[in-house]
Amino acid sequence: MKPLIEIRNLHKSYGELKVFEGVNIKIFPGEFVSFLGPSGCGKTTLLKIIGGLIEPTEGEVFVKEQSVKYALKNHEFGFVFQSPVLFPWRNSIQNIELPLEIIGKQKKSTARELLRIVGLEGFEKSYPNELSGGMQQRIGIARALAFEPSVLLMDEPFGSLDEITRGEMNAELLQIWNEEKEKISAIILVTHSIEEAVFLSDRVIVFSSRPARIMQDIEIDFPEPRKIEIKNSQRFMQISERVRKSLK
Amino acid sequence: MIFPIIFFFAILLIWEFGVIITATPEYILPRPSRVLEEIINNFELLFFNTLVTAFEASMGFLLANTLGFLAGVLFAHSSKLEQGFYPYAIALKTTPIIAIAPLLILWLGSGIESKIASSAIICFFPILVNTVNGLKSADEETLNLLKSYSASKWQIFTKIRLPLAAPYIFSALKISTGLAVVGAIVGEFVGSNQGIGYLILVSSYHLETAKMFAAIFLSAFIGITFFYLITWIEKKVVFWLPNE
Repeated sequence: MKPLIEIRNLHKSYGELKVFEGVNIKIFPGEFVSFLGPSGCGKTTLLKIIGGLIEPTEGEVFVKEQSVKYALKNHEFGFVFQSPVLFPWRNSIQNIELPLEIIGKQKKSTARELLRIVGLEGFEKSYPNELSGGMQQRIGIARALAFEPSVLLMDEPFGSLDEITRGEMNAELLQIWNEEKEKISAIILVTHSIEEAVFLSDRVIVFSSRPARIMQDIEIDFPEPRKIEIKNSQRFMQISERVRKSLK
Repeated sequence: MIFPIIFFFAILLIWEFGVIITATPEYILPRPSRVLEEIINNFELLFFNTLVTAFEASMGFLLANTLGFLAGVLFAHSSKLEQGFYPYAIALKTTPIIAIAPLLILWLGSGIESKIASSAIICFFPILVNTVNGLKSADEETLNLLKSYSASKWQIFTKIRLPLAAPYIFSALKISTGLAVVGAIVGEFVGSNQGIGYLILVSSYHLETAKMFAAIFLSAFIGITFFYLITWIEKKVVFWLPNE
């Protein structure tokens, strides 16, 4: 199978400061991949390079065998950031439709439908300041799905949520991923939560602290569709333990 | 709303009886009832001159805020322009308007043009600074998000930067309401034959203190009306901001 995203020998440094060097990753269609590593290790920078927001110092990234610039113009990436980045003068529907207005794309999946998918039916007319942090982030996810990108790039999207909401959002994300699998080809999630990474991903790529190197590339194959109960299983503990060890 | 009204009448009462008890002569401090009498007796005169000043102030306000906003957009767009012109904007701000006013009379005559100009000059700086700051207030993640949509500069400006700047712009407009009246009255002090400033000056020459007070009140009234008008519009436009 041809890789959806291919990262070849990627280097990034800011002057003397090396963020990472010699990173090679292939991501295939249908994969949910997590980048796991200590805070400030450069995994967010890597995500932003893949999404075309930052230029690498050396090396190349290919998306569907094309350059990142081409992919960006083709609207292949849907971003979800740590903060929801919603606009207070737009209600839920209007926030979700922002990318469609900018891209000028036909509204394929309607904002209403997306709102249902993220579990916020009935909040169409609500403004961001009327919604909780978790709800705001759901709008952020719905907005990222609005123009049907092939890759969802998520930069610690649940990092600022409390533990309980975070768990709910993880389950929700898995469900969305299962529902939208024909549309979204891959999800890349940056996180520093081992539990989140193991529960959600098909592959966890573990990075060292700066300059970041790939420590481990761990495949995770729980039976699909995954249920929240797997978190209590022996396998889940074992894999988590393996990931934890590779972080050291 | 009820407390300001109660306080207003309480202060008027204390003032009224204070003047009577201390037997202060009217040319030093007239009783409020005398000021009211003056407003009623000279209604036409006061009303006309209030309108003149209000017109000058609103024209100055509109002129300054339009030009200041456009300059702010240019400055926010080009840091070279901003760096080049900013020192002169500061110089304009720090030069007292009262020092420039005679020059404006010389150039533009003693009609309303010179008052509009002096009013516009002091209104210019707040809108300029706030427009620049407001337009630049988009954070990195917001800009990243728009970059990921390959949004054009124009789209970023209209859909994001402008609404983000709206609260900044309105706070400049509110500051300007008071300043606009100051600018108009300063212009009238220096050379004119109409307007509230002219009325204040003339009644001070004639020791008509009651009329002077009436004029002072009306000058405040212009500013207050103006301020609440802008506040009302602000609530309609920038509806997403929490109420203060």
